[in-house]
Amino acid sequence: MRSWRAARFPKSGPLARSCFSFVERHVAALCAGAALSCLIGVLTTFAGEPATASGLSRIALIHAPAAALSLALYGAVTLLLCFCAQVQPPGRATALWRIARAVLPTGTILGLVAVATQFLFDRPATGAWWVWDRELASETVLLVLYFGLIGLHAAIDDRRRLQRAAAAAALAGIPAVLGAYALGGPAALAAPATAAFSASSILVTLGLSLYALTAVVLRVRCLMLEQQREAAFGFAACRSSA
Amino acid sequence: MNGFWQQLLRIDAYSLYACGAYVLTAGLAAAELGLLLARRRMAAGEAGGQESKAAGHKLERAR
Repeated sequence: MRSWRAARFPKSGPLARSCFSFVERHVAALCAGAALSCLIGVLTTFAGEPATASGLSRIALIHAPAAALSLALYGAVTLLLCFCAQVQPPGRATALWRIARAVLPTGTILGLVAVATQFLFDRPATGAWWVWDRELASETVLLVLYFGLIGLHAAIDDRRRLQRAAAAAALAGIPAVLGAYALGGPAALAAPATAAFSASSILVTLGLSLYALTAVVLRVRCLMLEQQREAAFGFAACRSSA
Repeated sequence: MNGFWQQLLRIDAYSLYACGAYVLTAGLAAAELGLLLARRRMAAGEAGGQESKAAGHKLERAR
C-alpha cells in the first residue's frame, strides 16, 4: 500500500509544506497534547474554585473556548473563500481552497459544542432548555451558516460557481451573526468573569486549537488524496477510451 | 487534597451538565479524528491502487 506521506503538495510553498508535514508526522502527539491540555485545564478549575461556587465556571470552561474558536474559524473560512473567489484563478482547487473546505466540519463541531453548552448553561438558572438570548441566537445562526456552507459544497458541482456562491454566502453570514447578537434578548445568565480569561480557560482553548489544527490538516490530506484518485480515474478512463 | 476530591466529586446540576459537555466534546473530537484517519488510510490505499494499476498497464504495453 502506498504511504500517505508520498502524496505531494501542489502549489504550496516550502513553509506550508513543512508545517503540514510536521503536523502529519505528529498526529498522535498533537492529539495527546490537546487531551492533556484540556484535562489540566479542567482539573485546575475544579481544584481552584471555592466550595461554595455554583459550578457555572465548569460549563463556561468548555463553552467560551468552543464559541470563540467556532467564530474565529468562521472568520478564517470567510477570508479564505473570498480570497479564492476574487484573487486566485477561478475554478482551481488551490491549497487555500482545500483548507477552507477542511475547516468547515471542524467549525461545525465546535459550533455544536458551543450551542449545546449554552443551553446547558442556561438550564439550571431558567428552568427552560432553550432561551432565546443573544448568545444562543448568534451561535445558532453561526451553526446554521456552517451547515449551509457544507450543503453548498455538496450541492454545486461547478467549482467556479461554487467558489463565488460560497464566498458570497460566507460574507453574508457575518452581518447575520452580528445581527442575531444585537437583536437577541439579554443574556439569561452571565458567565463568571473569572472563567473567561483564566489560565485553565487558556489551556482548554489551546487544547481545542490543537485538535482543530490536527483535524484540518488531516482533512486537507484526505481531500488531496481523493483528488489524486479522481485524476487517476480520469486519466485511466481517457487512456482506455483512446 | 481532600478538598480537591470533594470538589471533583461534587454532584449538582451544573457539575452533571459540565460532565456531559466534556464527554460530548471529547466524543465528537475523537470520532472526527478517528474517521479522518480511517478516511486518509482508505484514500491513500485507493490512490496507491490506481497508481499500481496504471503502472501495470504501462508494463503490459512495454511488453
